[in-house]
Amino acid sequence: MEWRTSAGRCAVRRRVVALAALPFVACSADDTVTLGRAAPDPLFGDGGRPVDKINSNGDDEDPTLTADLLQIYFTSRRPGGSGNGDIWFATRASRTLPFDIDTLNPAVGEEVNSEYQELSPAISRDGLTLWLASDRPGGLGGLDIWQTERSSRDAPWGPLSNLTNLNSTSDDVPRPPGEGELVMPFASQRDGGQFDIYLARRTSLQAPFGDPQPIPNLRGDSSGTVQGGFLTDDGLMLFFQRDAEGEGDQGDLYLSWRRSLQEPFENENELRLPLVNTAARERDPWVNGDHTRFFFASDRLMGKGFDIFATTLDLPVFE
Amino acid sequence: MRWGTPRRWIAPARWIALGCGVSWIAGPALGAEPGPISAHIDWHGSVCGSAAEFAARISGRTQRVRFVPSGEQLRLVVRIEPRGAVLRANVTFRVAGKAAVLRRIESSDCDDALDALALVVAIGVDERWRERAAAPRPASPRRQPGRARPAEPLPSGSPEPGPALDDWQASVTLEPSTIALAPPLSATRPVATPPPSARASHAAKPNPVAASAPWAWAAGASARWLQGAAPAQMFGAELWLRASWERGSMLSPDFSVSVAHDRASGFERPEGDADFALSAAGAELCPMRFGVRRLRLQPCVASTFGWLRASGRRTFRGHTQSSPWLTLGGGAQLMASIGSLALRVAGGAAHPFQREGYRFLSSACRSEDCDEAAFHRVAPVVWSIALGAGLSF
Repeated sequence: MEWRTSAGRCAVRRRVVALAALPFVACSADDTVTLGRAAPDPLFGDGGRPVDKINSNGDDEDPTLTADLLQIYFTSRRPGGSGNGDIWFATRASRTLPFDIDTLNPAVGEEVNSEYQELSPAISRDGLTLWLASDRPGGLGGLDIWQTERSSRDAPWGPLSNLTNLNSTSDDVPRPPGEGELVMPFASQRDGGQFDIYLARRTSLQAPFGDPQPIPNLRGDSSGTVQGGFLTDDGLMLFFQRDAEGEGDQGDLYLSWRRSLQEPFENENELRLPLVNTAARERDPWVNGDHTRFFFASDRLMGKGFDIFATTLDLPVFE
Repeated sequence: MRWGTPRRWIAPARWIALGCGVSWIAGPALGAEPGPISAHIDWHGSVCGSAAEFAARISGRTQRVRFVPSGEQLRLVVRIEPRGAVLRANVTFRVAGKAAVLRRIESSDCDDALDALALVVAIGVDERWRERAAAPRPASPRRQPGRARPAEPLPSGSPEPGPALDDWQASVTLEPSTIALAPPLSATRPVATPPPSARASHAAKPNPVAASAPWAWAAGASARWLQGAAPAQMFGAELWLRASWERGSMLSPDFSVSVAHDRASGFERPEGDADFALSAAGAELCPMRFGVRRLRLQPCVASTFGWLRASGRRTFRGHTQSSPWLTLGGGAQLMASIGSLALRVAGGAAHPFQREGYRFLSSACRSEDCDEAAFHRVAPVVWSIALGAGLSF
């Protein structure tokens, strides 16, 4: 008995054709792959947590660390120092441990701290060179950048030397050198009375820094200053702070980037850092070599002045 | 242009060969039946199998021959060799004290060539046997129009008989356009027809050519151009191995496998650069061929499987992704053989089953959720052209 009608056979045939064509249609996926992004998107683990055991009720700021993250140098105005702002340090046995409170001391020796201001320490990766700002006598005027060295981490710091080719009669404040420790992004008030970031390059780690160069498209204006620069090791990203003058005196952390060392940092390539900025002031960014740890200072904890905070970071590199 | 050998031409060819052999029959078998003729085959036809296989074909057609390694009464010198697109098969009958006789068969197929050649030999053997049965006979029959004329005896010791061709000699080809048959069939002569049992045994025999000669191999490399997989044209190289099954007709398929790698580097976008690389293996079937074996155009179906890798460079969070690549498509190839050199031009279109899109995120985008359009999506049809050379073997 012919149980399948002609129309039924056609329907079956159409079904077969449809099934045969299915792989061509249904399996044609249309996923979209993101190959990269024009701007860096720093991802922070959280908004920052106070670094354990080193913060005080006075201002604690300008954190810089050695490359192994075992020594931290910072500015503190806590009791026990030599004067109006001193360089303090602490150590730890492992980067997974908190800093040892027993090692928390003003930087060893009178060569570093004095009755004058000592601010914004910048420790080299190996921990054998320390730059700092001080208004002690012997400088060109205001805060000057000074440098001291030691032969080992256990040795005392040597005498401070004034980096006259970086300093001016206005305030000059050092920051840790980036781009392989060859370029120092220090802040200076030499032009117009507001802080701007200048880049001073040296040809080798032993050579002196050359003439400072301003960053024309990354400058403060009447509404605020630009300082606290931190240049990454590849020299392509510059963290900094913008301190707004006036109401609230707010300051936030920013990131500027460029695609090659030959390009300048531009205003348009500027990003206000997410998550770590609050309604309070954030300043003094510092990033470790592999861009996984982020330290900064903030006065977000009411009544305690500035404290040092840290968080994890996932910072993309340009490649 | 070479024509195929349809089946309808094969049967007539066999009969033509049959008639050709009949013309060699000198007279009816009379008198007492002698024993079988001892024969030896000088075989120069390895392209179509072995002497033993050929002997079996002859034995399947006549019982009046016995093959011996030496001391033969009849020596059969068989030579089969390809001439262009056809096989030329010669068999020379050499009998002591008589002129050598040459038969020639042309065919595009080994099986038919051997079949016709065996038939010719069987008929010739039958004739020799009848001559012996009727002996003593008068001297050579008077030549009649259309009859075979005795050829001049060959010098003794000649390694290869070289009889003068005359109207006795037939040239048989299976090509319909070139059939030439000199000797007319004699109605009074008995015609040796293959016994049914012989045909049956022949049909069961393997065709040595089908397993060897019709297959031609070629391997080579091609430069490739690809459009549609990447936002820019891709260039690369392909290694291929092809097997051609020459069946003497348009249905002579060509199989191939290949591996290919194509690249398109430095596609620049404001947000970064993109590199694309396609690594794929392919299989291709070209079931038909137009033209001749040495210059043929073939439509093909092909499928490729591999990975399409896309990499972001000069960007932040540069990402590399390898996506499966599976296509089905078709095209055509033109193959030319010059000696052992094989030249190949191929073009085709294929549909990728997975069609990824690729994008960069702009500066304004702060998260992965940005609804930014892809700057490229794999096209529904990917076009390719390959130009290469290789070696035939």
